[in-house]
Amino acid sequence: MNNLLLINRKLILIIFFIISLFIIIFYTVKEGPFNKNLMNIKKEDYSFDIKNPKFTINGRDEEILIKARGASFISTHEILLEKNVIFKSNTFTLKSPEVYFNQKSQTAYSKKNTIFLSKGTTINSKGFEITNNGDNINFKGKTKLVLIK
Amino acid sequence: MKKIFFLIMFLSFSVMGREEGQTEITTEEGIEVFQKEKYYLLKKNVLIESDEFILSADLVKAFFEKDLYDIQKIESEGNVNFTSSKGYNGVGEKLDFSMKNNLMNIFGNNALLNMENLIMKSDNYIMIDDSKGKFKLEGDISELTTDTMNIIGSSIEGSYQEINEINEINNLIVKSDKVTEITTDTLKMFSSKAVYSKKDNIIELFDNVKVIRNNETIIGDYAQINTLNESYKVSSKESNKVKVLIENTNE
Repeated sequence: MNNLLLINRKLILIIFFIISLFIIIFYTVKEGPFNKNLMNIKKEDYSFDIKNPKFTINGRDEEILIKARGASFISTHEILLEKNVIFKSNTFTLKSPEVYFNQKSQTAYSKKNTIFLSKGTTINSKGFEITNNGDNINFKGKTKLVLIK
Repeated sequence: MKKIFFLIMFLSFSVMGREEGQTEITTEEGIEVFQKEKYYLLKKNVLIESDEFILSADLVKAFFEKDLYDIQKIESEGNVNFTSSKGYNGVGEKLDFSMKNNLMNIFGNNALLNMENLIMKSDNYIMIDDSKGKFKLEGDISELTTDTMNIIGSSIEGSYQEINEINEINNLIVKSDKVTEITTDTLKMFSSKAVYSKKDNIIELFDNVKVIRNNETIIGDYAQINTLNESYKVSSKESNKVKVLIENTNE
């Protein structure tokens, strides 16, 4: 039996295992969900005119808090709210990934999937439009409304 | 393996299906909520499913009291089809339904309300107040079919009562500009106006009365028919005379 060959085989296996382990750790760290998000957020943040916008408007009977991850100016009065846009009042919460908001007319609309939550009410639609100081909400496209008494 | 398959199927249906106590509404062209006016407009191919009823229509206006879930009244238009948990089925061009007092109005050329043993048809309007047990049919041709009678007139108004899950007519007033028609197993009755009372077991016929049984036809101004034994008496206002026509079919 050649002893030299036996030692070499063990060494080769150990080295191969260590290298593999390093490669796995390296890619896990590099491509990990936390790192990826952080990098993406930074990229997105640079593309927004306003980062984490948060403001309130006066509804008919209540104040409506509006927040998002970012906002960009479309025109003098219109802004595009992006990423996790939330309209929240004491009576309802409305969520959408993208909302156009007009500061002058205090109207908002979206063509993206929208979720509306209120007491005993859930509405899923393909977009929405809020007009008349929040008095009228128009849920657009195929819509599903679930009511619980 | 089979158990896992059925478990997956059960879970899928649990997630997809409507839960008890929920009202599920789907539309193709969205919902417009008018918070000030307290109603919402459901647009195109609307389907409402609840514990109490299923309704489909082209357009539905739902009125609420406080919150959206608190629906008080529904006004629906276009190919309306309504089925209640009691088994009532309403079809019409327009259907209004008040949840508060179980009041339903059906409009349209082919308005229909099927209450299993009571079938109402009209070319204009059907009203049913289920809480008070009252109904009304109005139109050129309105028709009410029960287990024992078929009634045709332009206006049919009456009351009913649910006994052992069967709706029984208590009172009935039938009117027509032309002629009302009541048909039982053995009798055919025509008049301008007819009144039925279950309590007295009597059908009264007023003006232009004609009663036909087998080959016998009796014409007069007033008739009273006993619904238990189907015996009848016919009278005439002016001459106190009635006309009896007997057709002899025996050769």
